[in-house]
Amino acid sequence: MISNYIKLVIRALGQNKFFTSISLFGISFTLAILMLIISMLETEVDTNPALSERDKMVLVPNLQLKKIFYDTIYSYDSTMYNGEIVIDFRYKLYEQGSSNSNNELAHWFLEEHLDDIPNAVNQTFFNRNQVNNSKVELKAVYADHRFGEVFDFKFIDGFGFNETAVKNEELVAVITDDLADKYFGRRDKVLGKNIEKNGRNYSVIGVIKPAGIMLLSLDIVVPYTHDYIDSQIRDENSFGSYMAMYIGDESSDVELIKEDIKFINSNTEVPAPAREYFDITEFKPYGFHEACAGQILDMNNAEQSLNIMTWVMYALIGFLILLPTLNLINLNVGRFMERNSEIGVRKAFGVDRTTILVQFILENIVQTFLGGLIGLGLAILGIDLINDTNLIGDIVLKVNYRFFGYSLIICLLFGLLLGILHAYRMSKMHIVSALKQNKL
Amino acid sequence: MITSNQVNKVYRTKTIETTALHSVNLEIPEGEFLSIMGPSGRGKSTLLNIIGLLDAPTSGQVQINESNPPKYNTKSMVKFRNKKLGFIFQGFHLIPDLSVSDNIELPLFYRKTSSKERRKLAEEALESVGLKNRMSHFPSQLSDGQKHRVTITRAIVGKPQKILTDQPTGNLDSVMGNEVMDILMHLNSENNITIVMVTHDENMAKKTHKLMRLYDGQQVA
Ligand SMILES: Nc1ncnc2c1ncn2[C@@H]1O[C@H](COP(=O)(O)OP(=O)(O)OP(=O)(O)O)[C@@H](O)[C@H]1O
Ligand SMILES: [Mg+2]
Repeated sequence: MISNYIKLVIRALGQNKFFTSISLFGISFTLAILMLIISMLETEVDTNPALSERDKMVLVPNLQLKKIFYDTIYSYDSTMYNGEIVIDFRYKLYEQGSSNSNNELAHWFLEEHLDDIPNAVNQTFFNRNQVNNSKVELKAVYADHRFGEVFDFKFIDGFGFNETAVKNEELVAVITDDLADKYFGRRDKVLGKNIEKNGRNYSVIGVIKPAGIMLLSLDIVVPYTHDYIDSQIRDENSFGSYMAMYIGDESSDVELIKEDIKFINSNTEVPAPAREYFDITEFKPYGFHEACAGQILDMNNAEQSLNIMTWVMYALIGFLILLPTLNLINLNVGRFMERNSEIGVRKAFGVDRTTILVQFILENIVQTFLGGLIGLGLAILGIDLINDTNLIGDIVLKVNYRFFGYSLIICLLFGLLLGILHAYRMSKMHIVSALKQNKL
Repeated sequence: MITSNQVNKVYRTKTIETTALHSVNLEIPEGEFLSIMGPSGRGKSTLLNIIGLLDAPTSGQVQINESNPPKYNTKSMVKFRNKKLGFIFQGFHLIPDLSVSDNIELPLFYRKTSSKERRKLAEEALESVGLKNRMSHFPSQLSDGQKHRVTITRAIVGKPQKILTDQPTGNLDSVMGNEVMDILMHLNSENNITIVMVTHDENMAKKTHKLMRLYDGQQVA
């Protein structure tokens, strides 16, 4: 029986070539485009040179000090401005509530508490700040020598600084080629040239490609030992501008590193000078994707941010699929209208409602499925073409079959929904009025 | 035997109420060829649809083969229509996406006849109306006369007891019209099929056993 239906459906689709091809084109073209976009996105993140180890990374971005108060709250904050730390002691009075101070960490605090993580194979402490130089505005990073080990930036020229350079407070800098272009007007042959920052001249020893993500958005990297205020002076302030990035041997180590850090956290007391104001210390570890999502939305709630971002992503893709689907629905409605007479005839000659339902639903499914297959074909062809012609540099795109599967399922669901909706309306239609509507 | 008892049909729209049929009583014995005549818009198609169980009367009853009054929109009603009744509509109502033979096989398809058997019956039926060579054509490739014959074939292929036809010779020239009429008369006399035919053509009506006239939804003769 089912083969009868399928035959009927294929025949119907084959006969109405114009409609079928428009509808197939709609489905397959959208799928193909989506797959291309996904493939490009994936490749972008995949081959991103600074983050090829991102699946093994754990970030500790900030420190929170908390106290539950019943009638008074002390607020205590610090910010990094122009390479200088501005400490802001403000005294606020509330009726009741909790006090919560939140900022990046001081270098000494990281050294003292977070320097030895058993499951991490490497780590780097770094900060990011805005410097208003005389010539250009700089996004500067103070870092240790392992910054370039944890993040495998792509070097166009030269090298990063080593441990000795950091220890000896050498005036050396690694800059991006974009900054080289802005500052020197050229992207190559800038090694050994001087770049001015906070009144000091740094000699360029390396040129890198920008990483292209917010977390590592920077123009210049210099040894953290130049950052006297924040890294070397062990004042009572445990807040600073630094964060820590750890890297495991493999991605399964991420959870272990997180556990290590949580354990350390549970044994860390509030630094003595702050005890008057706070009684809970909290520094949380985040996986790379959580951290990225947190950067964009809310670092205090990185896990939730990742969830939100994931859903936004799904919604966007859903929306992209929805547009042409709506178009298809539109076309389908028109086509179903034309088929009133067919329904009338079929009903008069003995088709029952279920059979009509099955027929129209099957028609939709077969159509969507064919569209999906053609779309896959188009996407593979397109990706091959792009790879062969080096249309976007030497990036090699890959077909994401899992994504294809999901999209096809979404399309099929839409097709099914559409089919059921129309088939239901059709099957409900009164024979006599169906017959009246058009005649061939 | 088809009987109708005090059948009324009232169409209500928001603004107007049309009485399409008013107390129609009918008795059509097995094997009779009845024609229904009357001016346009006076309820002929409405009556035919009600006799053919395609539409429910507003009040009154229709009985076929002395069975109980049928329940509309049930599976058993659908089955009954499929087995016992054949329809030739006013207008062709062929399915454009299906070939001539697939169109004809429709009633058999829903009877779950095997595809081989369907093909054989369709072939035979088409042969009887001289259209065997058009089996794999599509409706849009046929002349109007040929379409008429295809719709007749579709109605008879399932060997129904009764055929209901609405102006089967309506827009045909007299030669074609006579041809169609001959087919119907042949079916009636040879196979003892009961036929109810709506027509505007006195000459055609004269050839049938009995004539009924409808005027403003009422039987006048
Ligand atoms: N669905 C409907 N809603 C409202 N009024 C209707 C409906 N169907 C038919 N009518 C009305 O019922 C009356 C009878 O219609 P019917 O189709 O039976 O006429 P007819 O005798 O077959 O006419 P013709 O010879 O032109 O085919 C007409 O006045 C028509 O306008
Ligand atoms: Mg009529």
